[in-house]
Amino acid sequence: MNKDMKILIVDDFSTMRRIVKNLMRDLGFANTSEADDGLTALPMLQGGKYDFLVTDWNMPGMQGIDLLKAVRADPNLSSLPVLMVTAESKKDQIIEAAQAGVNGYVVKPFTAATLKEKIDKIFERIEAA
Amino acid sequence: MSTDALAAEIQPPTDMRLSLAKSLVTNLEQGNTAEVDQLIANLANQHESVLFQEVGKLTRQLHDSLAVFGNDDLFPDLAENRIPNARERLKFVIEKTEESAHRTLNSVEEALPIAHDLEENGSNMREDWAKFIRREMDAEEFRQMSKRIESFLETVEVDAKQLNKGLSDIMLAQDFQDITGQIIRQVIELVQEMEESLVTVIRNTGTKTKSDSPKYIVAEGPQVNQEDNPDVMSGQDDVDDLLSSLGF
Repeated sequence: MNKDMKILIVDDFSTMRRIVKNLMRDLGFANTSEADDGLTALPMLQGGKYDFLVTDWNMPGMQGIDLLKAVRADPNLSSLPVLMVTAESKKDQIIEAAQAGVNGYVVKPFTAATLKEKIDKIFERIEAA
Repeated sequence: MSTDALAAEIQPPTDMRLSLAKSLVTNLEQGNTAEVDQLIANLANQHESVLFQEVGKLTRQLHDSLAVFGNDDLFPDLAENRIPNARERLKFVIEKTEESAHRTLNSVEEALPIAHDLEENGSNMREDWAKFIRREMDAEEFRQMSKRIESFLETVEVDAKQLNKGLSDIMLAQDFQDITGQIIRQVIELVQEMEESLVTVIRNTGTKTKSDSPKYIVAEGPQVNQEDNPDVMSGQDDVDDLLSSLGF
């Protein structure tokens, strides 16, 4: 896994973005950018050659699930690995995210270990494929 | 008014309808077309007039209920003052908690590199010391180690002070809990009052609520009463199980 990969962190709460950013840096990923909802994130993704997207679900403007669908629908972004970090914890929602093509799903509140485990798993699977 | 009571009232007196029906049969048997038409119209009218009366009654009830809505001080007060006020208070809660979270994060971000350096310097020092104990150090190296030890001890003192300050800041940043707790409690009381008022209005107007579950999956935010809802995953392990059952 490339530790210099470019990561976009999308969450409407700046505190949550900071927490995820700090955890990512602890894991060795320092090349992170932030966006506060799907509407700001999508143009960044389209113009920025990102390697990994970490997004919340519940945000004003464009929600995380719609951002995920937009990413999968865009031929230039469709294979971008997406990790959802969200408080949405209903069965239907998780199935919806899985069907929309999410690569990993972490429910808040979460630990640094969980985040690491999911990221490792996502890239293991990608490298194995 | 219950549905049964309403249905009973809509029915015209039985004997009247019975006599009309009997006369209808007689006229039908005799082939009196004009009479038959008249009787059928009569029967229909009977029903309609009761129906009109009932609609009138409902309209009056609705009018009265709406008047209660308008005249009662509760609703204008809710709409004009208390709800906007609650909104402001909740915004204040967001601001307060956000401010505290940032204060905490600031302290943590300042403390992390200090802790990291302490760990690294400490570990280097231990290696130096082990070398010295093994008598693998010449006089020059020893002089350099002494200098490093001296500067490390100074740094430890400064760093420990800095870490102490950071931890105190983090502690003090939790002071929001008291204030936001009180505000949220007030808003809960308001919501409860509104709920009771709305239940009263609904009861008075006899509106039946029907809940259609939406098929579109929407964001709901954190689930607060997970135990009561079997559709809510209780944690990351549950989510992982579900995903692996989906072939993840």
